[in-house]
Amino acid sequence: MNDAFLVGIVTFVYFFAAFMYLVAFVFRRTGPAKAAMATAFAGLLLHSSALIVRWIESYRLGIGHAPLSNFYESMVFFSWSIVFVFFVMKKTYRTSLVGVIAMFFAFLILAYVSLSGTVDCRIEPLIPALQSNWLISHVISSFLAYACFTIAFGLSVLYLFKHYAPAGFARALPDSSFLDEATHRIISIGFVLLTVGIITGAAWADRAWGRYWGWDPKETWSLITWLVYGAFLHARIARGWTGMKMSLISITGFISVIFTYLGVNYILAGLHSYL
Amino acid sequence: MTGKLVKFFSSVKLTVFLFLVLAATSILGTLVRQDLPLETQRSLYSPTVFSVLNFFNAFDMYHSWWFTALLVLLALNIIVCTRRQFARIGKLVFGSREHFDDAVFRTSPIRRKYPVRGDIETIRRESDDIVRELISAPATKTSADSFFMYAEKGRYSRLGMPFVHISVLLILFGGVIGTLFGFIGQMNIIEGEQSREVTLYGDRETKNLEFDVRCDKFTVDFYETGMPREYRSDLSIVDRGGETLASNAVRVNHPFVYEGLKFCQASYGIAGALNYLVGVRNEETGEKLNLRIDAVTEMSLPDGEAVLVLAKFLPDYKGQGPTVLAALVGPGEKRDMFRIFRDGSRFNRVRKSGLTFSLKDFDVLYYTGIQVSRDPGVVFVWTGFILIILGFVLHLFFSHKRVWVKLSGSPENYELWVAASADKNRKALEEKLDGLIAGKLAVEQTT
Repeated sequence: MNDAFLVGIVTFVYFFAAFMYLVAFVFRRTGPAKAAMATAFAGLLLHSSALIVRWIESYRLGIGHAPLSNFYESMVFFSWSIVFVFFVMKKTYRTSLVGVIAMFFAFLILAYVSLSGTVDCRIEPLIPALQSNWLISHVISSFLAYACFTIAFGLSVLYLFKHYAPAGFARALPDSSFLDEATHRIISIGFVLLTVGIITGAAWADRAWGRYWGWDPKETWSLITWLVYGAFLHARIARGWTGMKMSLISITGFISVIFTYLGVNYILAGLHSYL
Repeated sequence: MTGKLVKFFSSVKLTVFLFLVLAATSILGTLVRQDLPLETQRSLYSPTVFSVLNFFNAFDMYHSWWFTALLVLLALNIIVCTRRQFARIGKLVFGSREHFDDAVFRTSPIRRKYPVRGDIETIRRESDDIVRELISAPATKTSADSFFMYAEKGRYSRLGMPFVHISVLLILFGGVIGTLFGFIGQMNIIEGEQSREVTLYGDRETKNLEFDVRCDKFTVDFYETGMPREYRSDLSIVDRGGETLASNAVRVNHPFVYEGLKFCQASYGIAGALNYLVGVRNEETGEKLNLRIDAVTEMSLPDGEAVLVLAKFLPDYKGQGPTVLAALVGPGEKRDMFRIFRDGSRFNRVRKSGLTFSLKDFDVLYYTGIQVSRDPGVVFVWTGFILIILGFVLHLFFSHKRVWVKLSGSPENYELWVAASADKNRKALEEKLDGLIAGKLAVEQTT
């Protein structure tokens, strides 16, 4: 079985789950919400098996390594991370709307890699710099952090939306205070994961490049992201800052995440050119 | 004055401001290359732009005075805030474990009061059960018609955030130590040769090591797809007397550490070639012969008349592959300079002497690019990394929970007071407490 084929199926499963969560949210029924959750969970299982199939396949090719080493693999894992984080933190959110956000982003990323046809999905051997035990912990912590920030971004956009949307529509959305609190929680977790991602990256860089920190564009952008979310967490403690300003910092943080992940590779030059 | 300064540095708004300013300014260094010498930078920008960028140290901005100043402000901010935090939590974390204070029944975030009636021993036992289940075995003060219980758990979790903040200071401190007392640079060593000269990154100055580093062998290995699989340099440390002190292979992700110096595989290149096999063909007679030439050198041709000089090897000459620059010197002849291309190349023409030369074989002579660094600050950075994770774990997964239970009044009219607090997730504690009281407080409650 080809893992790309499985990923293709998962793409549609996630789309369907997002749609069902939307139905559950609009009609406020538990039936569709349960069905949506079952669908999303089935998607996550299938998605996980696609990762495993690819991992096994790489060993069959004699170049065995975790499927976390190029653009295609990172995108597939990014999508997986979003759904995983959503399930881990599901209890915190008693609304189907977070489900819509998570499943939508998970779908969007997979749709790009599996339907656009521009992403090379071949399994490649590891170049020397990537042959390290730090690869797995670094990539996993970084992408789980990205996943948290992605969900936070969705919540923040909803917050702004609620603020500016016509009253009738805004009323249907969850409370501002809920959105605010939920954003804060998921960013706290994301921040810790990002810290772990940067630390494992530094430990790896120390072995591979002989220094733990070299102000390489990727490193610097990860620090910028860390600083923006650090500002977010401190701004909340400093009081006065809630709601609107926090949403804007969260959105800025997410732009920084995207730049750390993609912008550095496609716009700036650096050591991290393989992602 | 000092008071004002302390107040300024104890502000969390300052933290937010510094974080955002550091984030915004850091972008500059990712747009302007940081790894080029000033002369190269000059050629990349117009004179005006160059002088503006140079004025703000944009070509080495992360070490500039203003970026350093921002980091110093951040460090002061952290120090003052952490001191204040310690002042606040010190007693809670390191103070007495018997905390009997009536005020908690007025001030605690969770407060309950139940009028109860019955045997004091029963009430005490039931209360003890509740506290045990909620937190842990309590410390109890008892008298004839009253008791006071106190229990707590997870007081050290309050150290989580201070740990995180101290870690950031440690990491910054480690960075300073590394910048002041460490160095990082590169040495290129040709296979079989040795050197002690390190070209430092940044100012491009050279630094001499205490010993020589010899490259015994360099190999590069490829996958079938053509992607590199492994770069490997076999290095030896050689002292001034020529004695080998240590030998080790250096691969990417597998550095060699010798006396605090770290050697990493950074790059490689072709320095030249060895063991040339040059084909010579006499176009008049059709006679062919192969010359084995060890290195770039002179060699008399077998006819004894002319001398072939191999002058310089080029790994790739204008896309035509490897060539060797050669000269043919014959008696009374002018020097005939030409390039010898690969065997079969159409560029190998008949020389004046009537001979055609071709490059049949050679061994590539590599040089290896070894990055050499010493960083005495790294131990502080690692400690900071471990402590920051420990701090987050303490903060995220543990909370400081406390509960007080007091019985007062007379046997006919007892009052059972309950107070509790948690520094995190108070709601869960409150729900658990109410559930336990509903389930376990069996004594008769008077209303």
